Amino acid sequence: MALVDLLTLAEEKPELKSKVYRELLELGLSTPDYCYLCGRCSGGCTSMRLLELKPHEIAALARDGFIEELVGSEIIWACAQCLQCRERCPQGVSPVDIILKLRSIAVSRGAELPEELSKMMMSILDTGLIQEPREVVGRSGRKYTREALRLPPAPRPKDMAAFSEALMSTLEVVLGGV
Amino acid sequence: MGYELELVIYPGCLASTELYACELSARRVLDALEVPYRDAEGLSCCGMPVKSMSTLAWLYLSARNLALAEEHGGDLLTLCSVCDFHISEARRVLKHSRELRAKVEELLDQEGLRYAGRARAVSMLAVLAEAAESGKLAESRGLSGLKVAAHYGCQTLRPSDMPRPDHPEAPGRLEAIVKALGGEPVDYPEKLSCCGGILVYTRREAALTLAGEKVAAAQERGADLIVTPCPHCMKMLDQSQKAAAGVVGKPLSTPVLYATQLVGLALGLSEEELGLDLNSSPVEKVLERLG
Repeated sequence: MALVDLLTLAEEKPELKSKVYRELLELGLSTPDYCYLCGRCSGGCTSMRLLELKPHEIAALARDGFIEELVGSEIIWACAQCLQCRERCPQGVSPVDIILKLRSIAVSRGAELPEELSKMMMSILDTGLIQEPREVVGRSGRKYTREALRLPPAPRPKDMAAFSEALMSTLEVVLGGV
Repeated sequence: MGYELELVIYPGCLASTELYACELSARRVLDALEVPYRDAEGLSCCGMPVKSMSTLAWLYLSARNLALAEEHGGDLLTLCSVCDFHISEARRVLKHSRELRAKVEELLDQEGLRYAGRARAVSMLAVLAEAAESGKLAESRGLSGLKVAAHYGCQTLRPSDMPRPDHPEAPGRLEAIVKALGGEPVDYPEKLSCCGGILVYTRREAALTLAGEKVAAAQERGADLIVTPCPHCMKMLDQSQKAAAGVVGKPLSTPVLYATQLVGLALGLSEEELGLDLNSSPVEKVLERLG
C-alpha cells in the first residue's frame, strides 16, 4: 500500500517510536527530533529521483510516531544505502539508519524479505559468505575457479556449528516468522 | 609504509566467491609493491546483507573479522568499500555502546573469539594512494596519457563522521594514483553519484539505470576507461554494463578496471596476473593503447 494511503488511517504508536529512538541512540546517532526539515537529505538522495524516496519525510514521520505506517510501506526497500543523507544532515540524523531500523521491524513482523537478501542470509548461516564460490566465465570463454587462478581456498569460519548458532541467535526474531 | 600493524587480507564475499580478479590483482600488486600481508583463517561476510534484519547480526559478523585480525596482531586490509564501511562503522558503534559491545562479546565467546577493539579496517585504496604519495609508482611503465574517469563508490567516501579513505565531497586519491602512473584524470558531473551496487538487491531496474547513466556520463566526457576501488561498483559498471545499456537505451562500451588492475598494468604485470579476462567490459581497448 502507498505511504499516503496508510497515513490516512494512521495512529501514533509511542512504544514503537521509543524502540526506534533507543536503537538509534545506541548507534551514536541523533534521533529524528533533531530534524528541522531542511531537506538536504532528500536533495542528495540517490533514490529520490527514480523511486520517490524522501528521507526527510521518513525522519518526520518517525518523529511523529507513524512507525507502523512506515514499516508497512514498500518505500523503505527503495533505499540505495549511498549514505548521502547521513553525510548531508546538519543535525547528525541519519535517515538511512532510520530506514534500516524500520526494515528490521518490518521483517520481524512477517514482511517478506526481498529474495536476494534472504538468499544471502541463508548462505551466510551455512557457509559464512553470501554464496558458495562459483565457476565464472571470462570474455574469452575460458572458465575460472579460485583453484585454477591459484587463489587460496575461500575463507570459512573454523567452528561452523558455533558460528551458525551464534548468528542464528541474532536472527531469531527474523527467522521465527519464516 | 606507515602501518602500525601487519595487514591481514580481507577480500570479502564478492571477491571470494565470484569477482576473483579483485582479489587476484590485489595480491599481485601488493607483492609488486612489496607491501607485506598475510591470510587469516576463519573470516566471514562483513554483515552488510543482514543489517536490514538485525543490528546485532551485522555487528557480530564485522567484529568477528576484526577479532581474527587481532589474533594475528594486524589490521584488516579490505578490498571492498562496502566491507570497509560496515567494518569501520561496527568498530565505531562498539566503541560507543557498552551494551552492544557486551552482547557482541558474548556471541564471539561462543566461537572462542575475543574482540579488543585494536584492529581497524584499512582500505586497499589507502594502500595504493600511499604508494603513489611515496613515489613508489613513479618508475612504472605508465599509462601513456590514458584518460581515466574515477568512480570512488558511495561507501568508500561516506560518511565523514568516521574515518574514510578520502574526502566525501572532493576526493582526489584515485586521480592522484592515475597522475602518478602518467594517466590523465577526466572529471565528469556524476563522479560522486551512486552506481546502484546495493540497490540492485531490492530495486534492480532502478539500480541498472544508475549504473548506465554513470557509464554514459564518463563515456560522453571522453574517458578511455573508468577505474573503481570497489567490487560492488565493478559488478554494476563492468559486469552489468550491457544490461545497463539496455535499460538506459545507450550504446555503452567503456572499459572498467579495478584500481589494482590499473596500477598492476602500469607496473608491467601480465593480463593473467591481473585477471583481466574476467572483466566483462571491453578492456582490450585499454590493452591496445598500452601496446
